[in-house]
Amino acid sequence: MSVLIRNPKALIGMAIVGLVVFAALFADLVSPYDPYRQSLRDRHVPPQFALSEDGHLLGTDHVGRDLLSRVIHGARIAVIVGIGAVGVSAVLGMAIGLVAGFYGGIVGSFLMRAADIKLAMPMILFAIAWIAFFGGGLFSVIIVIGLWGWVPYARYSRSVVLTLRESLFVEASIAMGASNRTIMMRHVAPNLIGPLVIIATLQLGEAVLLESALSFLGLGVQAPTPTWGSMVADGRNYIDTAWWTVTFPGLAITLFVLGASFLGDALRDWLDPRSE
Amino acid sequence: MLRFLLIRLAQIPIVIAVVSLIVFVFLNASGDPVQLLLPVEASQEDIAQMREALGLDRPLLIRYWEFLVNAVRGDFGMSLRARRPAIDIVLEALPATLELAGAALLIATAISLPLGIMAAVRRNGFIDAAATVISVLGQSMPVFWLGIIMIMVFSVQLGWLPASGRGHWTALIMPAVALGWYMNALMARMTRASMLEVLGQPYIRTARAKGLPEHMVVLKHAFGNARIPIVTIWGLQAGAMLTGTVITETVFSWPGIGRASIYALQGRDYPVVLAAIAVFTVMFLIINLVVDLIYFLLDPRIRRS
Repeated sequence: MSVLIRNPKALIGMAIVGLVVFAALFADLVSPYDPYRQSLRDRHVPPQFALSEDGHLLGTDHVGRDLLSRVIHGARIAVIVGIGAVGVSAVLGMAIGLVAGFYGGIVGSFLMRAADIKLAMPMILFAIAWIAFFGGGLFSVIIVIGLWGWVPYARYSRSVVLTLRESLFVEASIAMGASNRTIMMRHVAPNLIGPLVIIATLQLGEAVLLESALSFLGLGVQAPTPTWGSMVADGRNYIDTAWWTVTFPGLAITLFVLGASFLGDALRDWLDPRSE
Repeated sequence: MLRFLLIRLAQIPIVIAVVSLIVFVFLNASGDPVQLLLPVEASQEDIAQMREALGLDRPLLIRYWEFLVNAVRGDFGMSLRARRPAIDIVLEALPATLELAGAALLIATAISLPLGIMAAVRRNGFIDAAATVISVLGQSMPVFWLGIIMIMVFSVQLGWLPASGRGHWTALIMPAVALGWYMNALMARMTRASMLEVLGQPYIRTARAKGLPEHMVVLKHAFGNARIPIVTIWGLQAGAMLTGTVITETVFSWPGIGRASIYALQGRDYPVVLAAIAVFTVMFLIINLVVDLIYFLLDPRIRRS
């Protein structure tokens, strides 16, 4: 653990991810304004860096909503979708990888071909078709991004199963009459948890990027719920007069993704010192 | 080798069939195009007539089978909106997409390879630090945001480059940079890591010991061995770039397949969507095939086996 604290990358990553999660959890307490409150008099107020009672630190958008409050509330969707989606991917990927590794043969190669096919599909079109079918609610977005990311988890789980199958303790438990399911649950799965958490952290950024892209295209969680992607899409029409409306939500996405990837890298280096 | 190639070629139609089946089912379940095409006050009879005319009244699986048989012949049906063959609409947009993706690939490769090599050779130096910043930022910035920020700076503020459209070559610069940015970041990082690993090998010491000039050691002995994993990433990213075109083309109003398929999806113009997905998938598989061929050329161990 002390290795993690001494690593500046890990510190930065933890600080950023911690900040975003904090904003998501306590959005209502920390945001200065109601993120939904419109004010026609205060449209496109530029950022005021001097702190005052009724100032807008990051300015306001085209209907006079406080940008800072919306960015803070936008963290909610990013965190919920990000964590939810990697969770779905990890569980699905682990299940597929375990089955493919254990049963090998036709089932295994079929499942791994499915990974190739998945790679050949343009993600955005798949997501759009999905959302056209199931609608664009929070749950639907989590599932579609989650369904998308299972391949790395499956590949890793499968490789671990293939190695462990040859190991002595698994051989011993087979000799003692353990069923496949027992071996999977008692011997293989516990060995997978750590590495899969690291893959999940590394994938978190990608999930957040996908969520923001879907929101940007108007296919994510629907307005008026603030999402970083849809805020960029809103601000896009006013780039000649109000630069702040597109700049800050995009910065929030970039920072969060950056923090998640720093944290993931640091965790990986910590668990597997060979990688760097 | 021939056998390997044939297996790869045989996989192409299977992959396309599976991909198209998934999307076909989704699209057809997602809503009735007739309701979007006809005015609200259309009678039940009109709707039924339209469904029959478009062939939407028959069972899903039969329609999928017919679709596949026709698709093999390059016939994806008529666009529901434009009343022209769907494949024509997609193929007309193909050159624009290839131009954009090609330019982005070129930019990403031309910047990331020298950057990654120099970063590895002068480890912990200034270039290494710059390469790290570039690759970290490249992988964290959303493409659409980068595109809009570039439009804001270079079109709105400075007035140097056109914000959208296609025609003059200057219009290609920003979309290609935006699209290639992520790949550039990933490849620079990969090249650096791969070079660092190779540079620590004993045969590099041998090459230096026998008095080879440093540029020969780096370019021939080190890069020659480091390029296999780089080609892998290149191939994966070249495929992923096709997905990126959808967003980039939307941001820059670039008249390619990505934008055409977004329009078609919004208008529930299924034949165009399916034709676009088929073309995307074929392109992706061709890229994979090319990458496999490049392996074959680059790695003597694969060539001999």
